[in-house]
Amino acid sequence: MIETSIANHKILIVGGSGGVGKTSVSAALGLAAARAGHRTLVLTIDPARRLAAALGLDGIGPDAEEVNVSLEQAGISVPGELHAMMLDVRNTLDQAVERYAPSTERRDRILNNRMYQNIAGRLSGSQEYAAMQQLESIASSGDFDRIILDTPPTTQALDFLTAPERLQAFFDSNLIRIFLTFSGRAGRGFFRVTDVLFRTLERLTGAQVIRDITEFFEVAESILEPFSAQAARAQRLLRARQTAFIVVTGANPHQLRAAAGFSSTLAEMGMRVGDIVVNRWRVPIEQDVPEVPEAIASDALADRVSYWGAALEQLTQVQTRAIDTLAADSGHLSIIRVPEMPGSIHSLQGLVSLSNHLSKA
Amino acid sequence: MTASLLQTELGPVFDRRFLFVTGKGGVGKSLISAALAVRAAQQGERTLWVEMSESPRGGHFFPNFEPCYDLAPIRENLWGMNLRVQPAIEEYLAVAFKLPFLTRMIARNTLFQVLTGALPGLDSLIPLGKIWYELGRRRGRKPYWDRIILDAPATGHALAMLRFPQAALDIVSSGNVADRAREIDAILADTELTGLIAITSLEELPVDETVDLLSRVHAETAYRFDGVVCNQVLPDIGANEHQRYLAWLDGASDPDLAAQTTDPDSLRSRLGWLESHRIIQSERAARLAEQAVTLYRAPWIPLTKETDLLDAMIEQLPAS
Repeated sequence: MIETSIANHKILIVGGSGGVGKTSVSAALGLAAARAGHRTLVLTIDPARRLAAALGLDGIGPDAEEVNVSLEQAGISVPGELHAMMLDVRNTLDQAVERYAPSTERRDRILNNRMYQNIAGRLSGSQEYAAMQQLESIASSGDFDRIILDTPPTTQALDFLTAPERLQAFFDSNLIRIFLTFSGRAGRGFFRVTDVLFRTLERLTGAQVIRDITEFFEVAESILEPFSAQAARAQRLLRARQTAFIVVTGANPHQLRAAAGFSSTLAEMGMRVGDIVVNRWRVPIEQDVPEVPEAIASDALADRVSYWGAALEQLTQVQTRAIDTLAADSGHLSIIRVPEMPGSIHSLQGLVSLSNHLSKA
Repeated sequence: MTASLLQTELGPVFDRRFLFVTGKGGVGKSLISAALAVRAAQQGERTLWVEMSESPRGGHFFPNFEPCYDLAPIRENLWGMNLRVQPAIEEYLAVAFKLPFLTRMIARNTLFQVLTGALPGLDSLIPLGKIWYELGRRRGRKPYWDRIILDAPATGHALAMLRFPQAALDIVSSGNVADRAREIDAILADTELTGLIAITSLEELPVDETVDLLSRVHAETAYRFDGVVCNQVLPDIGANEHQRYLAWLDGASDPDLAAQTTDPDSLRSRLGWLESHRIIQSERAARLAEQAVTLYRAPWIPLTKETDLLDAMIEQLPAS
């Protein structure tokens, strides 16, 4: 039940593979929370333009914007509040540097370092890392009583969880100390393997890059601890009682299998799955599965109508059976079926109707 | 309207020896690249299909094929591999430095992995370097591969890969990285050899992302996308009898069509949904067409099993 998930959890993380409608579901979930009276923030990554426009997020920066005004103008009454914010990766990392740098001199040296400028926001995993940082900051600020996090668009749902950990390894102080010890000329030759390692890196990239990295590590070392501490808090937040994942999936069998796999991995990693939302399900009409003709399209209108009518029907049957199987296999997890909706969902009215479907299930 | 915007026959770009295929996650990039690879193989070309994924799809499309770093046969004339970064780095170091044992130790060293992960673009360089190697392999006087089709990473990462040669040369001018960057640049810029293809569906986000990808690549690099394959294009059921079809959707009686179904209202509502989406799709196709790139049509196939989907797509992708 989506109401139960909203009632019991302060943080809802919307995850799933690419192209299943995570951002729309996040926005609709935010709307449902605001309708339940909560002061709600939807933190989204890269919404479709019309969805952004509908949320009043068009062309704005990384500050939280209140959506209530546009909701009221559209005649939708909301007892709580709905705010929306777009994640700006570079800005989030810059802000964290500003917050944690011990002095303005250090801060400027980091922000101006060529390595930092090259990797901040571009390194794979930095979007996910920034999303976690931002989530942790907002959660600890206490400004909102419900936070909906739309996860970055990746092909694989699990990337959201593994990417920050990989990046965290980069910020591991011990590794960096080793690097600083051995990258200086004084350190060479002491330890043969490390020496070969650095010679290899140099041949690979040229000595210049090693100098850039060394300078970056030297200036960055002072903020690594607060950075790591915040990342660790974010990791704990993912496993906290107040947090649940909402897994979004398409209705086709392979998508449903992937969603089931993702849900059980989350559970194994100690995270809570609130609901599985099956999006864009084509609701079946008839009971019998019709025969699909051999030819994909034939000439006469009647044949085309007959073919596509039958094909659509068969598709719905396959989807419905697969969803039923998922529901039977998932035990206590609630499965929310959201039918394929006519018209655009990227409008306020579309969001309201999506939100209704989420709550009705 | 859609018909005139979307080419139903694949252009000559699809005949190039190396196809770099990218697209937003979930639009059917792997499906289309696999279909292109099977078709090339069916035409008798010795073909290599390369995935680059932590969770490759090859095994779903080809039940007896297990995608891994080592090349494996899929079917007649078709081989496949999953080009993951870590084993590629190991192989690269072993070849480049001729120290197999030591390089494996180095490549598996955590510190080294973290550093190579931190070096911008190394995860682009090494895989593209592998492609460069395969493109250059010879079999007697002929190339070893008649065709290499790369199922490249999704748009964001693909953009980083395409930016990589220039970015690398901005940072380093000597050393192995600079040499490799020049080689890769030569491949990507060679329009006789290489075709850059984007796959998209005609949904809002994928179209936005494709427009974004194309304009950035064209603005920031010397490379050009040669074609966009629009996947999941809905059928024009009305086709040459549109007025009659729309009238029937609207509720007009039509004995010929009524004979097709026992439940005309629900059939009408379902096909009406299809028709309204088809119109939205053609509007989005018009938006993509502003990018001055040729659009190709790949149909929506109402099947869900990946092996069936692939078979149908191979048949449906029109010949060039």
